[in-house]
Amino acid sequence: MSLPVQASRTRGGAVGLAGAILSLALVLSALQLARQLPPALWFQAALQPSADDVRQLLFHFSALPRLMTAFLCGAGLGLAGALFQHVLRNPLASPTTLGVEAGAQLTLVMAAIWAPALLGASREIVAIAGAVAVTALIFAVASKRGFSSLTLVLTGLVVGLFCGALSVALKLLNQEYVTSLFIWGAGSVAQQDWSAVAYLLPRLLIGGIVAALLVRPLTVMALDDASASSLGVSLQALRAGALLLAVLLTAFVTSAVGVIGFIGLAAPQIVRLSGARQLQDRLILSPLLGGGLLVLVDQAVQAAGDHFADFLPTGAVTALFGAPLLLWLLPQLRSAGNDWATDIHATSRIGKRPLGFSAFGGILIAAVLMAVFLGRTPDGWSLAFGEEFATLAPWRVPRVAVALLAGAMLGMAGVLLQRLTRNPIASPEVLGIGTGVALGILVSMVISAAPGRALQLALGLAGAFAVLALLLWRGTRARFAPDQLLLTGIALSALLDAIMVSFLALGDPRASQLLAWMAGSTYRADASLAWMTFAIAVPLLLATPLTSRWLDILPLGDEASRELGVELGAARLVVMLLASVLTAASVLVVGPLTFAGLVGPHLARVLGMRRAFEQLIGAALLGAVLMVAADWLGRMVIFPFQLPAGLVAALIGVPYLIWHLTRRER
Amino acid sequence: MTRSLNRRELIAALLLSQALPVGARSTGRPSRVAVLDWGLTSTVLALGIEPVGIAEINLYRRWAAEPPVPPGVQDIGLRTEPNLEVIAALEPDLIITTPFSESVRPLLERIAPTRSYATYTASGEPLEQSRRIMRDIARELGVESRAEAVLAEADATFDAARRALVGRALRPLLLAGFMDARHVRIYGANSLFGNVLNRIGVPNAWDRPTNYWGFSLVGVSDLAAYPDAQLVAIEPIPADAPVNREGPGLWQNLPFVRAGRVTPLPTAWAFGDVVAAERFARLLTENLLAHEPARAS
Repeated sequence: MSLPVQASRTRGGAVGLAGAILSLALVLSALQLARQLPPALWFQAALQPSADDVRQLLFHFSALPRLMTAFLCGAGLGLAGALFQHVLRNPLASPTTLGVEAGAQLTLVMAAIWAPALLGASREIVAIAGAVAVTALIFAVASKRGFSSLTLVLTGLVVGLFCGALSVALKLLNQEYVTSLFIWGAGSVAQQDWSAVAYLLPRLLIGGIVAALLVRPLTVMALDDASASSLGVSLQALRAGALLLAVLLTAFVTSAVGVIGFIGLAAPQIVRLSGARQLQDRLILSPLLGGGLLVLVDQAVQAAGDHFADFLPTGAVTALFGAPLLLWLLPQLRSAGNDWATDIHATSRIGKRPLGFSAFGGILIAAVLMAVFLGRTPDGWSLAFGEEFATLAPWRVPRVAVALLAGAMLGMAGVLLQRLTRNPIASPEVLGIGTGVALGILVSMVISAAPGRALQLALGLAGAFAVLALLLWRGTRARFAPDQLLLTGIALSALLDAIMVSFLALGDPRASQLLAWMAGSTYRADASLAWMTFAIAVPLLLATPLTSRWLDILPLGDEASRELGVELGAARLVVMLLASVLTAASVLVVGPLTFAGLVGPHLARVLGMRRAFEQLIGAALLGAVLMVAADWLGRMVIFPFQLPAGLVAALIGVPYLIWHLTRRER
Repeated sequence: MTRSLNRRELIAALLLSQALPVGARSTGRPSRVAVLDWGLTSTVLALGIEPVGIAEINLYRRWAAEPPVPPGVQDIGLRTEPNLEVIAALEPDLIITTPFSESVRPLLERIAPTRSYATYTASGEPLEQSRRIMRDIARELGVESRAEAVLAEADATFDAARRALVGRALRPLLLAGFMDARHVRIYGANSLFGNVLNRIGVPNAWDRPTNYWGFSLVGVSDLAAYPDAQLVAIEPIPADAPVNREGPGLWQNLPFVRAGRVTPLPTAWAFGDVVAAERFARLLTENLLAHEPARAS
């Protein structure tokens, strides 16, 4: 991929772009600062502000440290992202994909609830502990498989989802304690002293020096593994070291100011797309561009902030700027040569007989019976029969039905997407459809003080279709190439996420409702919703297996597919449409935590269902079991409080997946 | 007014007759009430009615504090998603909630007639609105005289506060809820607390636009524009709030901080009701009198 020959010809573009963004950021900052304080006083205010001049105090304690913090954070994330993308050879790798931020967030939430005193003393250390713990877990998993790129990204994503789900659960149950964590989650670079700069500067400088020392060995690594090994570079140690550096850089930044998700993905990507092919160039330009981008965004946020009643979190706004940029640059991204397709097949156990579908059917029936009849009341556990059941059934049956149908749809959607994109980390989330629905529901809360369910469903559906339209529009231009689809979906998710996170960070009391929905709740299900879901789900579930032949062929690659007579554009379009509609239908009723769509297909494959038809049915059954069990557990564990089914599904599914990944031999 | 009342009662009667077994309740007022919101819980308790079910009782005790929840009241789970099976098992004859529950209203109505009350509306007068709500709920429960007594008591507290503070050298107040080391929530004129300041004649320093809920979320630097203010930090205050931190920073250099015009105030539920407003007025007055030197009286 990285051909040194091209470098001299094309790096000028990248240097120019980074330079342009940096100068623009500088000019804007200077103008903004000049509005606050006459330039003649800058020198004095920077060094020795007069205590009686509020303008000088603001310049010294707020504006200047904020500017520097923004640059340092952007630079740190840019460098971390460049390292991640290089080492993992994966354009989707970023601090977020590896779960580092989610891990830090989880420990912060836990500290806020159980040990608030710890936060006052050492917020940073708490966050770093989480980030490092998550990384250690990921590395433990990955070391079983020789640090393969696939396992790292997959585990990182899964662990990140798990930590995120736990954080949401804790926030749901302790809402009033964690408003500050929403702010942290939205990434605010506002400062009131120099502590963040003093904290970040030495750490990032050391990180930069280490990165500089790693350039040569890492460049060798970019050649394929065999030639790198023959050159005597210890691949595993090198990878682990580079990844650790990137993780620490991310942890420093996130612990200082919070989650600023997009920069670490966008900066290195933009640098690469604009022509920087050599690692050395990318490691220098990515931090510069990242820093410039974040300063630019932050200046815009400050300029706009004067006109809003509400505060705009910079980290959330970065995505508003970054996502469209990435969408625009995507067509230039040549397919990065997908080496995962082979991995998908390698993970299935040859020769293992698939468990019969009847066994899964039996498990599903058992789960449904338990979910419907066994429950808790204020007086204790009870098996509901007869009259008691008649009073409870209207509450329980629709929930169980909706959970079952949604789980089945998500399972199938996951299979479709994983086979379409040839990427095992493609779960229904990456399409961005869940976020589209969430945004629709958010809009319903903004335009109506008391949104009814019809309005919420209608706007949620509108959100899903808006995202789908965008995916289609982008897709037709690239003939629905898998990489394009994934990146478009992720960029969209980030964009919409930014809006959601801002809303949550504002501490609006309505946010708790949104949060509950986002955690994936079957709470609002009644008979009419259950029948509606049934009417949509059944035709979809029956139609999807008709695509089995395509799904068997698509993972073999474009060449093979064409040779086998598959019209690629049409096949991909149909598969994507099916996956989108399945996802939208389930997200509308159980929220955007579509974890069953990741775990279902994996489990099905692990259990030996390798053909598309088997995997589809297996994933649907397993997804349904998972969601029904999750819904039941969510209602039982902390009775009378309830945990949303989507959340519990993540809490059940992830430990299993991690356990499975750590114990499996190569 | 009477006309609409009659209609409402008629609807309630119709719903009751559908929702409940014949003869389960007489035509009397609702006596088994489930409340899904803290502010409304406070109102119902102040009216002397013991609800059969309340959401998130433990957190209510910590954040709203007043009036106390009697022991033995069933916890019905989260405010956002109260447990429907539990509410149904309590066999309430009235459910009181906010417009937040609108999306599950059909489900609630199947259990019992459901009334929804909004304290925060576009009018920006939550205090006035919560008085109206107290009267409405009292009428629903047949305890109108009790509501008048509670409201009169609140008025007495407000008037006493006003009298006690008049003529004092009062500075404009910044009502602050600290979020973390760098961010703070400031309650403006349209908040419940802002309404109280207005009622007891204390100037509110915050003149910037606020959100629907009457507050702004801002950085510490935004406080620099108010050098003459006094800051009231409403508890609970996070451990890492600038109030609790040492060392050079903007906060320590803010004029009102250097002059020592920062005082903590015990918790009161910012999204509460008349009772929360009264509690806030009482605590604030005590606080201001304790910290502000009286003019020669």
